[in-house]
Amino acid sequence: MGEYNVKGLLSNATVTVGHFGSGKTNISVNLAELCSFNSDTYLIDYDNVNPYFRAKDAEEYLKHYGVFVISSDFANTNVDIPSVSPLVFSALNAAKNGAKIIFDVGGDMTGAVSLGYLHKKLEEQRPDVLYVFNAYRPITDTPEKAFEILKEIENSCNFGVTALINNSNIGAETTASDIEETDGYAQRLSELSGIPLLFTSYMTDNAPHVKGDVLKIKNRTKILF
Amino acid sequence: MAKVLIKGNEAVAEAAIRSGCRYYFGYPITPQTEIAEYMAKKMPTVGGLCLQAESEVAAINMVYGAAASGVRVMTSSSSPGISLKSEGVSYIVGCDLPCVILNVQRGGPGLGGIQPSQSDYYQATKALGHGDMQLFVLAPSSVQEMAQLTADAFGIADKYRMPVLLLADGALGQMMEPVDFDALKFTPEPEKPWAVNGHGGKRKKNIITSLFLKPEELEANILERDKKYQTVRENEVRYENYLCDDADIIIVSFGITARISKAAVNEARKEGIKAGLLRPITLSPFPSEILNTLADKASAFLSVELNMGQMVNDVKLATECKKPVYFYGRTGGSLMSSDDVLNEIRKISGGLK
Repeated sequence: MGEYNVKGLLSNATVTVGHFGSGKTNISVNLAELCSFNSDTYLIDYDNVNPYFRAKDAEEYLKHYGVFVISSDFANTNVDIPSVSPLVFSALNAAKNGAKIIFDVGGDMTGAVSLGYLHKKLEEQRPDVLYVFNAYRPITDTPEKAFEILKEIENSCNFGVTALINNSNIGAETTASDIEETDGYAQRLSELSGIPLLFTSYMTDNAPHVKGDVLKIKNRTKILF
Repeated sequence: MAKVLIKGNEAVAEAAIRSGCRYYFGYPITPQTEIAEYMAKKMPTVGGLCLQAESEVAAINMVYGAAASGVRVMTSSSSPGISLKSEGVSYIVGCDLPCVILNVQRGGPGLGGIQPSQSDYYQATKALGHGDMQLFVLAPSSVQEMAQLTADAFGIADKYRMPVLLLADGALGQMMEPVDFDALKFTPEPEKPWAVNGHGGKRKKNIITSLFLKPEELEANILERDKKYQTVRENEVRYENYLCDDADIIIVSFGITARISKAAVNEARKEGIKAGLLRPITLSPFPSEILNTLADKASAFLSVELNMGQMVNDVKLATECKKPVYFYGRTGGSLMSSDDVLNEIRKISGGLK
């Protein structure tokens, strides 16, 4: 067990997918912040499904790290329609020139479907496709159910998942042992899918004792009150 | 499943299923579509039915039919969709049928916006439908309460044979908090001898209708129902009293704004201002009695809402304007911060000196 280093990401393009509410956006924002120390970084808010909590919410915060956030022109407005910013293609070109680009994709197969639109261009980058899961979410409360959603997402976006991220938590009251209890689940999901676990995230003071790497993350979700 | 991390919308859906609801009819609208998604995934695994109707009007009429057959049934929508349901809701009231309706409010009027709002307070508490009618209205203010009040709603609906409206908002529907489903309390489903589910030649037929051919019969029916409303007012009022007993300034707020206001009350107390929060959990029946009692001791009231001032009028009626009743609100999908509320408390406090 060690602290995960984002330099381990193989491609210049990273994609986070997963069940809605699994913590994809928070993982993406944290990865973008960490990548920004090594390279030009673009975070692409590619969530065309949920208008409430999204990567764009972290735009001001990420400016301090020089991370450029790309989102639909309609993000955080009342225009409730899915759309993709043309700047996404500029980011894909930047990736060819060494920049790091991170796609924060919408939840479930519904959110992943629009990723298929970029398949041809994005496939050139052989992206790291990271499946984020939270064992404390009721729809994915067993590894088998999480695997079902994973397969639905792969079919929907036409990309294979390359690594898993265990982001299991129950919000602010999560303890290290809450996370440790999900380690067996994470191993089982890895076995079922044949996909390696990249790291287990944590926000607790003490790192959880789990197999594989861990990554300390911050809560960058929009605070309502 | 002990504690899970769950959205308010999903919490309602899970709690409904655990309450024995096996029929969900709805039509998608932001910000409550997760309910239909959750129901679509879960209902088939418990032998239930989740059906996406062709419209909100169709969905509420499916609820009407299912409720008449004696099953636990619910629908959900957000503000514009709730308006569409209003005719069906009135028929359900007219037939004295139990059901649960959830409104995850967004900005209005018209198509409005998709961000949180409490601007359907009047609609929910005064007239979600035509005729001499009332709904039972519950206002949760946390995700755990979204779950518990859903469970309670089914019990209340069956007990009084009336529709129960859960009045939430986009923030409560979308935000995620830990919920302990094992801690929920449920009301068992009673026998429903009035249901139209086939008499098999063994009993007299049941008739469920809201049509009365003679005005005197309709009047008698309404008077009978009014007795029920009276019982509800006497027995079912719920509220949270947070530091009100010695308070000078009492905030009255429900749902998400009560959460914001509670933080403001705590800050005000640190500054030496005696603030309190009276949070109605039932909006109809409204906690008038406690407010009237508090008005004898407190110096002022402040109604905090996500609208242009709706509940504030019920606070004035409840307190008989014995003390000044102020209003602070944001609307159109904007949320206030606890600092904003604190400033209002300070203004009133300054004026009181």
